[in-house]
Amino acid sequence: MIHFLLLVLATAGFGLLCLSRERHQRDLIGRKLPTRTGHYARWSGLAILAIALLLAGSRLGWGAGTLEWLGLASVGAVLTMAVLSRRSMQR
Amino acid sequence: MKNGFRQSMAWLHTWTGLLLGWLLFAIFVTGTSSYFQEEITAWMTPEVRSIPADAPTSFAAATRWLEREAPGASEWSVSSAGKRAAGLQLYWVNGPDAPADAPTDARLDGAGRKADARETRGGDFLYRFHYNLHYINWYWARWIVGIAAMAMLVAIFSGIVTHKKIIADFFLLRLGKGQRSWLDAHNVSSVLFLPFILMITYTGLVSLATHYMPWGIAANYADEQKFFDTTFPWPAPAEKAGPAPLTAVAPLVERAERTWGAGAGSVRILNPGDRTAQVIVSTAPDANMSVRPRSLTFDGVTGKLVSAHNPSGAATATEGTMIGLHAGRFASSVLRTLYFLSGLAGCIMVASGLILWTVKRRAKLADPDRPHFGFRLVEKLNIGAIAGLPFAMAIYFLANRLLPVEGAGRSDREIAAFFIAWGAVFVWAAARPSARAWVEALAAVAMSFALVPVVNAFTTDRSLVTSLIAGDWVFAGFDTAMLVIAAGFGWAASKVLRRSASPRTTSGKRPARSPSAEAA
Repeated sequence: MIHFLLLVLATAGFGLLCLSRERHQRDLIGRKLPTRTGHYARWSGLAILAIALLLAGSRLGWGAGTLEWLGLASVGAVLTMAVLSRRSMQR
Repeated sequence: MKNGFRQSMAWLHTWTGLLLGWLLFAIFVTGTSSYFQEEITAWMTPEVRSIPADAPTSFAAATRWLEREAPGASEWSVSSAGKRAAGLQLYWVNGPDAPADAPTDARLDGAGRKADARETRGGDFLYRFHYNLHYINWYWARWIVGIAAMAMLVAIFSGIVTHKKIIADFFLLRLGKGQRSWLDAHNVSSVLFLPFILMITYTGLVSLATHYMPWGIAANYADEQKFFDTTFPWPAPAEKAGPAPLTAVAPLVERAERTWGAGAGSVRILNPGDRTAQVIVSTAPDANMSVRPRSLTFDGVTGKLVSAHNPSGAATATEGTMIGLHAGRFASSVLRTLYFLSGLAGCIMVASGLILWTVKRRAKLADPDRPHFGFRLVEKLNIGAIAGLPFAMAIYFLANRLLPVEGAGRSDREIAAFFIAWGAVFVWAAARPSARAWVEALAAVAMSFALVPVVNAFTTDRSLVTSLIAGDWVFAGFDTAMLVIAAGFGWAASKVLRRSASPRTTSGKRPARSPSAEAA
């Protein structure tokens, strides 16, 4: 369960980071976000990734937790990339 | 100056990557498969049914078996690769009155019965290949692998410098755009998995550090063996003093596990049945992140604790943990899957880099129908490496099921099948036009992987359906993985086929699209 939660957090974190980038906004949601909203997206994305790391470390131990966080972060980033790639093909 | 620096780094990246890429691909693929080494071995010895038993019970059963079968031995050794292992491995050193050809090893299942398994090297062959290669002296093989790993580090760092827009292009994968797509795939597979790829390359070098840099030992110890004896003690049996019954092993294993709070992985008994008997219990390879085991030595008659060995010192701990990080034996099933996926990304990174070399140069060829020798050579070697190695692995699994179960030298013939299959793809690639050779080789890989579960169903009573019904996740998982890999290569083959069937585009770019997925 914790693993699934971590994966969701990692994907959400990277999703927000991706959304905070101007060049991806049109592909992802079809419009440009105001600069401020972009900033919020970036900081909340980073915060979610940090929370995921704290959660992984405290629940799984810092050794295995950090490793699992790194691995799941990579998977989350790949999922984000896949969604972006698909969206930009459709447009 | 900055531009010059970046350009020279790009040159370095291209050529170190190309020259050692083929070998690196083989190391990455076999290494990645080794995260499921125990499962591969379990699948390749279908006669062994792993019956889960706790360590004290199974070690005690193995000791009773040895008492019956090797009573006069001067040493017994029972080891388990950990919780995922199918059965126990036994070794013993026969006493002076045993015949010279008496057996010295056996495999037992979890219940302590001898497992009459087919002779195979199983996942161990793929694991050892990834640092010892095969058919050549391991000493030189490790140097070759080390040079490849160093080249990998050079390629990683020069690649980071060359990649101008790591942050800006972080999520970017533009498909269907020829060279651009290959570059994106290469970037994404390396950047998103950079922590893993750096870690695995660096720790890989560390795990063979004393091989590459023996001078530290040479400066402090007259004899290399003395260093290893001191750092990793391996006591020898004493002079025998007269018979005395061996103490029960199970309570000692239980006590050791309680002391460590971790599982026991091996029991060595020196002079069993003698007054000088000693029982040495060590931690399992999957018990800790560090690969250096802890051990407790007990008196073999009274069962009293004699001494405890903990690998001490910050350097040993660091080294052991780095190797542990590399091998991932401690990993839970989720972390193991992540290790495997990251390894797969590494395979894709190397493969896409190799293919990118040809895609980039194809556009600039004077006459695309008659490329120069160097270009053709790289193309052929790419096919032989990227499609050839997975093909060899599938044939290795098929050979395990199709070769006669009995017969000496069986495991060697499985390995011969692996290398013959691999070589055949190189020959095929050399003999056929490259675009067609890609399709045919990838299709052959897909078909051979798809055949593995089919042949398994006909040659054993542990087919995919049976395993699913029985809840045997090792066998069901293995067969399913074969089908998924087959589908990946089938998809890649159909992509290349469509690409080469379509009329040539005006740009002259006709990249052979190939395995971007499932390279293991």
